[in-house]
Amino acid sequence: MTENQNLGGFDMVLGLSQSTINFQFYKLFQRKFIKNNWLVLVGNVLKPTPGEKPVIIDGSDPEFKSKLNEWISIQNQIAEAKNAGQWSEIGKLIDSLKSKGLNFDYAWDSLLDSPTIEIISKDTQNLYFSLAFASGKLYFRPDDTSAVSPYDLAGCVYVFKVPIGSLKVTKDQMIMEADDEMESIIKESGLTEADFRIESLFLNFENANISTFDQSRSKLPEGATTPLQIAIENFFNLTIKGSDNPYILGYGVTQPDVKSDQALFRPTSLDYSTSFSDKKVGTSPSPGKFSAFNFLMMLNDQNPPTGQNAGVLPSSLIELGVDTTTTTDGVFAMNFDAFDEYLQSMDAYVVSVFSALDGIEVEKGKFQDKGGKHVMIATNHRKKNGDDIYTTYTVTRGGIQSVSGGLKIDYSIAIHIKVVVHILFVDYKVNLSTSGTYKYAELDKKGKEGSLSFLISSGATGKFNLDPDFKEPIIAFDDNPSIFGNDVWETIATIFRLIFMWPLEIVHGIVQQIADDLGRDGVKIENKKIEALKNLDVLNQTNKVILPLGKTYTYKNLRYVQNESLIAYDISYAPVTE
Amino acid sequence: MENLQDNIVTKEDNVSVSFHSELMNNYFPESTIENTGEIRTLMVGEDQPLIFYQDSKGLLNAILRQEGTESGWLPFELSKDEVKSYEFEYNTENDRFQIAKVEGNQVWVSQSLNISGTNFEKLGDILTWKSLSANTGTEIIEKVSIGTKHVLFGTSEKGKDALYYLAELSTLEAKSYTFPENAKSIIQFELGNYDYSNGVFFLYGLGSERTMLYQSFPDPKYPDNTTKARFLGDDNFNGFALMESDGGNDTLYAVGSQVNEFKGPEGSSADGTHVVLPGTYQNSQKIRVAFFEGEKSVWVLDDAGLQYQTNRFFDQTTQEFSVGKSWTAPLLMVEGASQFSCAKGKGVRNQLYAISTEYGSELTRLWQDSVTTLWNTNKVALSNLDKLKEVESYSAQVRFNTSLNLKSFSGQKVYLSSESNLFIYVDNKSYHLGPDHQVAIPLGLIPQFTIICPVDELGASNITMSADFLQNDQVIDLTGKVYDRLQNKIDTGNGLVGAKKQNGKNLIPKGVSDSTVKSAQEGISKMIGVAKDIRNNNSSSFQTTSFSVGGAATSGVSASSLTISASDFGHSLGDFLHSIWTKTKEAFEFIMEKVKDGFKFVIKIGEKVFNWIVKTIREVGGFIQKVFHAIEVFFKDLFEFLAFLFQWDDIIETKRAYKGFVKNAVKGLGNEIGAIRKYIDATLDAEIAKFDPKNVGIPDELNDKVNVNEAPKESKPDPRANWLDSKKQYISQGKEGEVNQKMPTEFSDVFEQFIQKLTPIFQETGTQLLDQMKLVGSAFSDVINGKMTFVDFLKFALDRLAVAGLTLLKALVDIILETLEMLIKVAEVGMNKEWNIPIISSLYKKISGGDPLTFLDAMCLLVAIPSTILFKIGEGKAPFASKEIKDAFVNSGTKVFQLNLN
Repeated sequence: MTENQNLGGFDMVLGLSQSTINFQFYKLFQRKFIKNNWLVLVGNVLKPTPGEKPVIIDGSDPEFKSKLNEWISIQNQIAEAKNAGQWSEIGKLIDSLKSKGLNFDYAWDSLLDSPTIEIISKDTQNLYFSLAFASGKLYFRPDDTSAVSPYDLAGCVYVFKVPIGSLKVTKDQMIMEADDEMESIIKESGLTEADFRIESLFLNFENANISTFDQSRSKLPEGATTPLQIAIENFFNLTIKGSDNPYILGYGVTQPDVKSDQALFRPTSLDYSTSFSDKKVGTSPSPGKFSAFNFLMMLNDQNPPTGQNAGVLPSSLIELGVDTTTTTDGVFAMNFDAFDEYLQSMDAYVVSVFSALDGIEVEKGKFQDKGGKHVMIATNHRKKNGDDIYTTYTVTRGGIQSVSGGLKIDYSIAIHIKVVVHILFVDYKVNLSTSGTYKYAELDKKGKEGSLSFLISSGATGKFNLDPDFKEPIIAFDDNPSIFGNDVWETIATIFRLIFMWPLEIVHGIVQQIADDLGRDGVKIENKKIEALKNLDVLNQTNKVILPLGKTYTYKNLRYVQNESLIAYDISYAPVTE
Repeated sequence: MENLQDNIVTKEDNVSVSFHSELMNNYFPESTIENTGEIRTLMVGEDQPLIFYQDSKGLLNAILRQEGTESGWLPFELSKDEVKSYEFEYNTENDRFQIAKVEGNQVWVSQSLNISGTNFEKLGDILTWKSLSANTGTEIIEKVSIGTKHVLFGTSEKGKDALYYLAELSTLEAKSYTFPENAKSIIQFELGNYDYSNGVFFLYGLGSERTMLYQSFPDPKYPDNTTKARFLGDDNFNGFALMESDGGNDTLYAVGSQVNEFKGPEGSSADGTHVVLPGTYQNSQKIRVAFFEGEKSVWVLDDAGLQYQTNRFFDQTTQEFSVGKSWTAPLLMVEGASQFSCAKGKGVRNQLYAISTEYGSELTRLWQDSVTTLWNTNKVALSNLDKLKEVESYSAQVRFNTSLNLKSFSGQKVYLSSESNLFIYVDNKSYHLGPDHQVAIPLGLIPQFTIICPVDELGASNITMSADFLQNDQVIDLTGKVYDRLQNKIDTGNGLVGAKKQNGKNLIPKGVSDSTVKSAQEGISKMIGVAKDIRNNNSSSFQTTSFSVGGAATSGVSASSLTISASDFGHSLGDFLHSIWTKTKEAFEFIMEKVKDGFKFVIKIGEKVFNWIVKTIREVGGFIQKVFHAIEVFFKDLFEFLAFLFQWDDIIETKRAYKGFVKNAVKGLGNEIGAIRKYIDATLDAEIAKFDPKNVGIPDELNDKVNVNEAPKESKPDPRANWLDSKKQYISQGKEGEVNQKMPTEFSDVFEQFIQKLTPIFQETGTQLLDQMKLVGSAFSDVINGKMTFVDFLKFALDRLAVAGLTLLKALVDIILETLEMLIKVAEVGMNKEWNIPIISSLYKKISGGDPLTFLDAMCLLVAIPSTILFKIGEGKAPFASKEIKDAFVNSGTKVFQLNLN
């Protein structure tokens, strides 16, 4: 499979818009899934006493407020005593702080806004993460003997870069974290739907480096820069690193529990990148509608690409969107070469239908590329009363076409029949084919190739819908039957008639088989929806999940972007409750 | 002037009440509703539904329950053309109602109406509509949904994806939206709330699959984004319904092969919850949910019919209901139903409007009484003076008497209520009675009324009656007489074994063993005893009793020794009787035991034991019916066995006799008119002649027993005899108003001319003559009734009219005779002209096998119905049972106007 640079070398990329991520963070925040406050008293962290653990008292402590107030009050008394030079008093007060367990370095007593991200122009490996405070205060003690300084946090925004380029989810990593029982499941299934839920994305920001805060984007209260920086970083380090609790950026999150269906195209590794876009639509542009956060996926345990441009997409996938209304949240694209796996399964189905018939041999048992064409050649030789019938079926898969409603794949069916009839030591050869032009008796139409086409459209939860269409091949004589002379022809006509009917029956049988497989009553009914594909070996993939993440995203507008060699869909973030 | 107060009857007047209730057929000028499309119900009052439905042409109609009107329903037409889809929104918070429909590829939205401030009786006039369209004319508007702030509609277009449009109700400017998938057809959508947002729930088709999805409106803070959520069950969903929850989020009920309940994320959970209700469905088509005071009900339509599940779970051990934790298994409520709508109310706990394909496409109402929990069925009907609806009913006639004749009942009110809820007609007006539904019935000059209580089984509630002039409340026991009759039939001869219905056919079908019949009748007898005890409030002597039907052994079984099995429970008594014990159960054991607050009925069917505490006579009726089912006797059979049946053949026969008599009389009069003129001239010119009055007469039987002219005056009320009395007001309620306008024109023309010619005579004589004319008119009816000979009448008439003076009298006689001649001329035409009187015309067509009702038929039938019934009640046979009597009577018509002067 060739790497597709339009996908940064990856097999599949899901581009989720910046505004969707921010909106989803907001939804998590609304549901209180993301914590909406920081209420915590922290001590013994800035200048820790060796061998003693940090003191952390959170807002669930019923005495939180009184402890906070008492700490502030005692610190103030300490500061006053310091100003007055009452050293013994200071010592007493500090002892009292320690004995009461109120020797804090800082305290958060604040309400938060929902966090947001911002995709950065010309930087595919980082994004800005902004932590916004709605109200409340940071109480900070510069040193042991100073008064506590309160900083009003209303409107305060702390923005820092998250280096997402270093985040990745691999199967190995997952296995390491899983217990034995889960291990085999993960090996089987690849990544799960849960990895693509917004909660997990949030969780993955765990590895962010928060100390590199952005001066220009942040809005900090005057004089509060250093205390905030210290307190935020310290708080993160305290709550994230090595802790059992799933506190990320101070917000509690757990990975959602989603039952994944195994997809034909199941991703086995996940990396991240971003694609900035300043594309605007309409008169009311909204920043981030076209900027994409990219989920970069590899299939079939392939290693992700490495190198400088790995994961760097030439432009945001979302710019390829067909439906760019508020309904959609991004674009999913697949390397066309990867999609070929599905087409091959369709080929295999067509082969199986032919080879299932008695006496038919498929050359090499599969489709082959011959003379620039993708063909299957099936032959049959039959002897009947000493006469020979040689039939060749040539089935050619044409190019994939984007049509209204999805992708169209055509198989043309050409038939050539050679009949050798022995009459009184003389061999009479007659050729018939789908390109024959001469009619006689029952064969009363000019020859015409048959066709089997499938319209593939995206179905529910990552499934495909197949809409088949058949055109029966028509066989006619290649040569004018009259060359035999009327007398001879009249003699052998009766024999021929029986023989001609036989290869036609085969064609009919094949068409019937496909019709049965697709659950139809007769081939004459065109464009009828497939109702039952249950007993079909190959095609029954259509009733299974083809695309991954079908329980997290919806797919629409399946299309072939030929110049970028992509199969693309518009997607919406629509998690399933089941 | 007399003091009016003195004249009105009071408590001190010892008013006596008499009533008589019979199980009998009744007829109403009503037609049922043929319906094809969606039915929706809005409760505009506590127990007042407004039902929207689409008629057979797809037009949108509504009917409003209205107490005290003829059919009890008031109809409205709400569209001119076929309506593709409609929906209304009832905003519970501000008590407002608004409706939207798709008509002519446009969406029409009504104004918002305040429920308590709207006179719904004028709904047809009040509603005004505004329209909306799709972006292009090529899009077909398929569906509409309306919410409290928005209207939503969906379109489809060949070769394109479906779209939906949203408009604020305040502006009605529609904006189109896409679906997250390539949806081609929208199966259902509803405006709703989910996950802290307002939006739309969709069910749409995507190839062979379906997606159930919620999409919010663009978020105010993130206008480029919408919340989306999908809901998956084990298979495709076929429909869904929303229930508003306390938190503002809607609970989604989606049905495929099972009912799935989805709740949105709550608390700190990011995930919604999904619960699957017990029971499975075959090809479910539609689901509706209702919520009332904590109680949830789910109704699902599937191949079997309309099924019902509820979280109001009946615990048989405690005999109490609990709400919330468990769901009952589905119960089949209406077999073969194709459409339905459900509503909750107070007295009527569950109301259900369904169309049942099995029984035609008529709108049928099922309702569950809140007291007994029993289910009742009736077809919803609208007044239709050209149609006749036959109704099996208990009909009770109630009369009041006071010894003081001068006291008037006029304007006094009688209050009716009932121990459990029921729908009745009082003097042909429909009312809802219940413990909390008291109805005031105004009395007229004649202090009597008729209650008709339609029934579909033997049981019926007692009706309680009170009035200012009554010392005590009176209980009208509708079923008492019939239970007595049933008991009597059980007690005589072989009891129900070999019993025959009134049509001579066997009551119990072949194949039911005599022993089963005997055990069933023993049980029925005991239940009738319980019913009597309840009725008489006398149960002190009641002994625990048991019986078994169909070979189940009862020996040693007592109520307390049976343990209640845990399965198949949770259903109320009504649900149990309606659905679980629905089929003929051939074998069961039954124990009845007196408990503190009623009677405990324990039923053991197979291995399952059910028990209920029964408090009302109505519930006992439900059980009696079920015991009858065990011997394959259904209500129809019981009706034919126990009810008073109109013998229409006898009535037709009587009518024929009257008609023959009248025809002959008219003919005779025509032949005799010359002689009459001569006679009058002679009489007036000379002396009064001598002739023999005995020459004219009719058979004695009729002379004495049948009073064909006046309403029966027997002292006891009897709804059978007074059947016509309860119908008489229909005659003056025809579409065309005055009686003379409804006469065939030939008659009315003669009538007009007669009046015109009379006018100058009256001008000359003043009112004196008019008074005398009245007396003459009264005497004339005596002639028709055979009470006076014609000659006597003439003598009397001439004598009376002589006050006017000889010359005037001559002129008057000329006019009368001329008129008479004209009448006779037109009679042949006019009397045989079809006449359309409500109820009577339809009834006549029915009983005569489709003959049109002529003026003459109508007149004769009106007399024939009560006279035949009265005669039969009195004599036990029809008046013209013998051919001789009939012929004699008919022939007497030829002579009734004969002078026989020779």
